[in-house]
This record gives sequence, structure tokens and C-alpha cells, in this order.
Amino acid sequence: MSHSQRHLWENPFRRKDTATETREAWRKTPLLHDIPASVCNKLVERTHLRHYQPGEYLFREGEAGVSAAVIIAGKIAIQSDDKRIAELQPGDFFGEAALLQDAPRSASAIAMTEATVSFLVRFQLEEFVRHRPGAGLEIMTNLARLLVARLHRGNRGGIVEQTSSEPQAGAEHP
Amino acid sequence: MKPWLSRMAIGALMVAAAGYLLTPLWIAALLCILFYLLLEPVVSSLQAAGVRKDLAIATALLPPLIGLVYFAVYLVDAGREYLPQAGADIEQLQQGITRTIAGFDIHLESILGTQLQLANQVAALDLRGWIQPERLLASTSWLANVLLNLALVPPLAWFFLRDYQSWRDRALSLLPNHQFELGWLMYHRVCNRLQAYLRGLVLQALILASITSVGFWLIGMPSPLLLGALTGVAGLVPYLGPVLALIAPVMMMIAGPGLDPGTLLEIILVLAVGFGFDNAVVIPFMLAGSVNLHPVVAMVAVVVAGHVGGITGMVLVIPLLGMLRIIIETTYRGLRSP
Repeated sequence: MSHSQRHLWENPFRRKDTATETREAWRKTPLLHDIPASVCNKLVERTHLRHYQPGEYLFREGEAGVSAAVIIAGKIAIQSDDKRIAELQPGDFFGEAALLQDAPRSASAIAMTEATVSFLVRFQLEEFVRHRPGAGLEIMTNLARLLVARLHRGNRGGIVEQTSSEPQAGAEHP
Repeated sequence: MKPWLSRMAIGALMVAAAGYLLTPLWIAALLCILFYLLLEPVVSSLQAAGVRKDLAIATALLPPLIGLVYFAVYLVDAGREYLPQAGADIEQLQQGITRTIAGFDIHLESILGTQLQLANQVAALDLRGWIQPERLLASTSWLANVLLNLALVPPLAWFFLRDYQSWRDRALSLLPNHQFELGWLMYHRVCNRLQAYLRGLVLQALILASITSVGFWLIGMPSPLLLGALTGVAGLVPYLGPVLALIAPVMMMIAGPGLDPGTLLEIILVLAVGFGFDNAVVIPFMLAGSVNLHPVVAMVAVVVAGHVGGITGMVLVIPLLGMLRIIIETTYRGLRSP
């Protein structure tokens, strides 16, 4: 049965479980654009789902960042120097610069509501890339594209972010 | 007490309790960790080449396991053959030491004019009673324990190589939200430095053992491979390694033909070449900077650990101190950030 046929027979009223939601959220991120579903699923198996209460910090400005995140449920505020920069929704992908380097976070992320966030840790991505160099190359290329697009946007706007806390909408792709 | 401090204390207590409970299996645990550290890159490379994980693990594990089985068989054979005659050898060793000390006594008397009677004191020592080879032979529990440990290595190493990463992921998932990233960072830094250090140590021991084995064979010492292996292990002890390495060949020389200055000089030369190469080439290229402890701290730690835990304590204390230092540094840095 092809993917489209399976989709046709899916029950539209059935509530998706968190694992399915997490898989779908990650697959829509620019990081996993054009990566085969089986490979995506293997990578998403390594992500960590964490739950936050309103007002709880996901990470703070200046802390060492080691993971990128996708919001599964709830709203997250990004703020720097007590100034709110952005509000993120479910499906938004952020913190991807931490997948490349050991730099401090350039902004804080705080849960505005009860939130569920899925984290991909850099060291696990590195292990994944070592075990699957072919798919790893594509993922790293996507990551490079993502950061270059951010650099271009920063140049146009006159601001260059050194590390990321700027959101990338899940559906958006550079 | 701050919550993170109490959590760390609870964690340390749990690790200590687990360590105490697993004491009878420390040989198996140590070998499994070494197998994991040495073979994990091989398994990763095979997986990257498209080999299935189980097959990659089996391929990587097979050669060292064959070596281990060979070693276990050799150990059993050697133990069965040697232990009945160990008593006579120990008596011969004691006589040799007494003769050497008596010669030294006479020499001292001619210089100082006083008799210290050191030889009488050495003769009063009952080496045979202390070691009790017959009891060792009669009691098979230690041999059974070693064999049980060796038999456990293949399955434990297999599961370690297959499941370690998922165990680690689950363990790190237990961290509270605000310590999640810090926990991963700490784990990564500790592992990286520790893996590099332990791999370096294993290679250092192998290189030192190879060089000195050849040296001992060239100067005609009996059992050059055994002496080389003991030198390799002694070389793992920082600063005191060369002195410890001298003990086994000198004892063997005294137990055999007796103390001979020419042979002693040859032994020292072999060890000097081995440790010279170790210090000039192996340590700078493989171990430099992996655990930056002050020499005084390292020396005191080695002596104290030797007193508490014997040779095992001496070998393990520096990597453990290095790990502790990395954990404290990283935690402190993490907690200081806003």
C-alpha cells in the first residue's frame, strides 16, 4: 500500500499520539527536509520529549547549548535582556546553531503555557551521522543551508545572529 | 542543602552502592568497559560501511574474545602446572634474598664496622607461610571467580556494545529540565577525555609490554612475555611505574641464579629503553594533556590509592581523579552561568 493510499484510509477523527506528533513535527523541520521517512524516524527515536510548566525556562541566555528543539504543544517565548523577541508555536524549530558548536545561547526560551518540547542533542546527532554517513551528509547540508539563510536574512536586516534562538517555522524552508 | 547538591550526593551514594555490590565482578566489568572503549569505534566504522549492528558487533568482538579464551586456557594450565611447585620456588626465592642481604651485611660491616644482621631478619620472614601456595591450590574459589568473570565478558561486552547508548539516553532523560543540557555537556566532556585517556593507557601498556618483552628475551631472562606484561601493567602507574616494573625481574633473577650485577644492569637497561620510549614518544603523543593533574597531587594520590586499593587502586586513581576534576569543573561552570 502506497503512502497516499495509507493516508486515504487513516481515521481523520483519531487523536494522534505524542510519538506520531513528534515524528511529524520533526519531519516538517528544514533540518530533515528531503530525508527519507525511515531515516527520519530513526533520528527522531533519539530525541527527548520534555514537559514544561508556564514560566519555566527551557534554557537561559549565556548557558551552553547542546540541542535544537521542536515545539510539540504549547507556546514558548524567546527573550533577550528581558526583551521579548519572538513567540513560538507548535511545529516551530529553534536552537539549531547548538547542533554545530559549543557556543552560549544568545537568548532565553521560556514556556508561556504548559508546553511539550522535543530536543535533539548535538552528540546524538553526531553519533547518528557517524553511523549513517550518507543521510548524515544530507542532514548537515540542510543545517548549513538553514544557517546560511539565517545569515543572509541577518545581513539584509543588519543583524547577524551568532547563535540561534530565532525560530524557524516547521513548514518553512529556505 | 541545595537540591543539586543533594541529588549529586544521592547519585554518588548509588554509584558507591552499585560498586560495592558488583565487587566480585570487577574483572568482568573492567574488561567490558575496556572492550567497549576500544571496540566502539570499530563497530561505528563497520556500521558506517553498511554492516548491520549485530554483525558489526560480532565481527569486532570475535578476535579479542578468541584471545581471551586462549588466555583463560593458558591461565588454567599454568596455574595447575605451576602451583604445586610454587612452594619450592618461594623457598628458593627467600634463600636467594637472604644470601644477597648477607653479602650486603658483610659489605656494610667492612665499611661501617658494625653488624646490622639484616640477613637474620629476612630469614625470620616466612614468605612461604605468607603466600601459602598449597592453600591457594586447594581453594579453587578464586580460580572459579576469575573464570566466571571471564565467562561473563562475552555476553556483557555484547550487550554493552549493543545497548549502552540507549541505557545512557534513558539515564540522561531522568535529569530535571534545567539540568538536561548541562548533564549532556558534562557527560560528553567526561566521556571524551576519559575515552581518549583509557585508550591511550591501553596502547601505552601494549607498547611498553612489547618493547620490554623483546628486551627480556634478548638478555635471556626466563618468561620474557610474562615479565613484559607485568612491566606494561606497572607502566600504567604514574611516576612509580619504573620502580614497580623492576620488582618482578629482580625477584626472578634472585630466585634463579642469584643477584648478578651484570644481569641487574641489563634489566635496568631494558626498562630504561622501554620507559624512555614511553616518556619520549608514547606519552607526549597519546596521553599529553588528557588529565592535567599537578605532579604532586598525582604522586600523593598514587601512594594513597596504592595503600588503600593495591595495584588496581594505583592504576585507576589518576583516570578517576581526572574524571572527578572534569565533573566538578563543568558543573561549576554550568552553575555559574545565569
